[in-house]
Amino acid sequence: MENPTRRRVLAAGVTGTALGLLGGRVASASTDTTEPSEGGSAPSSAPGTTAAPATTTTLPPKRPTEGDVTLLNFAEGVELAARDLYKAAIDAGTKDDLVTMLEANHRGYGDVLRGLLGTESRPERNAAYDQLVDRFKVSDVKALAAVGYDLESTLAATHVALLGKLEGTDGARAIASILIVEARQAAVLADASGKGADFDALFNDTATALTPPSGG
Amino acid sequence: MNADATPADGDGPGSGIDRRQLLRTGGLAAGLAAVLAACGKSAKGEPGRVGFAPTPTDLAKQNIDDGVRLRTATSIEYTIMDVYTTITKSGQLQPGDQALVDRLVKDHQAAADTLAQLTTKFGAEPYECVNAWYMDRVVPPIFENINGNEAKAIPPSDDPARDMVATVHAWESMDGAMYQGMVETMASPELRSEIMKLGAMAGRHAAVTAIHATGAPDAYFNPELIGGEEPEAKEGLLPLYAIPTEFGSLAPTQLVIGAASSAGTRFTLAIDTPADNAYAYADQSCPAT
Repeated sequence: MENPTRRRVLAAGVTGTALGLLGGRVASASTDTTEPSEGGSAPSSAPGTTAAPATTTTLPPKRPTEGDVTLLNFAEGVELAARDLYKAAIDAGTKDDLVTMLEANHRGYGDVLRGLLGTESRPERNAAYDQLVDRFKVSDVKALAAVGYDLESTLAATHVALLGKLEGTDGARAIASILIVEARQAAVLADASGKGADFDALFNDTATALTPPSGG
Repeated sequence: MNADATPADGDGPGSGIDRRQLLRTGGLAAGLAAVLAACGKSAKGEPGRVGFAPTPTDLAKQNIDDGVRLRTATSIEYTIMDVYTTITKSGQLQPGDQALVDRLVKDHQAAADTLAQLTTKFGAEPYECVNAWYMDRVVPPIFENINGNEAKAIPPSDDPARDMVATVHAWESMDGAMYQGMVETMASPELRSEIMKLGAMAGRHAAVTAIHATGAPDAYFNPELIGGEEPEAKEGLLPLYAIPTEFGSLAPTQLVIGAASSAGTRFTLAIDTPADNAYAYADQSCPAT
């Protein structure tokens, strides 16, 4: 009677210990295989539920990469050029709140990009300023609207091209928030230049993007 | 063996633990530890269940990737075209506004086709139909407040054409914000660039629609952008601007339409960009027509 009882106790103890250890391993494994959520937007599974097979997703970097810094500095330079072009128009005698707003907006875009770059900002006005400044030295708003339309369309096209190269989402987000307003500005300037009934001019951006420096 | 034969604690020779007690205690302790370990791990964080309610079935876990976003954007383009078709069928727009809407429909069809091609290119199946969530929850109240609904005691609008142009402006603004918001969620830079071509187009659409609604040059930009004060809402209506903010806004687009109440207020609807509950997930397919 004594030996079978002892055997049963030993067997139960060993089995229980083994099951306990196995349970611990299983619990740990389920924690480790939790599917990563993407940007916090994917629905999370309820505690204790079995996660679906994990999907491998490579998330883009958030902060600007080394290449992004070059591209964002280029974008800042483009915005500084636009700011100074509208400033040249104001200095030439164009008195209109629309031009004041455009100058202020581009100043703000340059500021945001400078803030994003921080100590890596190397503000350098884009050469487009020198190429266009004479066309902006006008006092007639309708004439200015025509060259402003070309400028805003070029800026929008440039930012679309930059989005295809930027890796970090912080930079892409900033450029997108600028780009969409510059597209609106182009439409406004098309209307102000007398093209309000020309849907192609209002909606189609056929401008050529400015080329960023190599290395970006 | 009986109780009398068992020495009391501390009484017997060797006072303490005999071999049998050691085995019994050790075995029980090991078994108890195993039970506690198993129960403790699996029940962590789970509230206990009381009663006979059926065990809930978890929804299938959905992956939100670039393909889902492209499918959703396509569905929004089709939803917008559906709304504009309803507006066109009403026949109430001014000729200039109707010409604008006709052009917008063409642009949205082109955008939908582009998105479908991108969806295929990036390994997903295109979703070329309206977005059910918006069609069920956003579109009906818009037309109820323009056309009226006796059953719900909603009077018809005092100016349906005005409200339809405001509706077009709201959808274009939301469309642009949707693309802008998707930029930072897209993994592919190429896709970010492609969708923002469509976002820029929607921004231009919204700007021109605002000019149609409010008139130039008042509609060109929000006076607050140069330190001025935004004009007060007239007759409970929001002024629409081609350039409402310095940066693209991701906030819900406010649409104010319908007949004025006795207090001078009108029906206001916030149209938000698609979220988890409105995505066209990979396992969804267009309803049979």
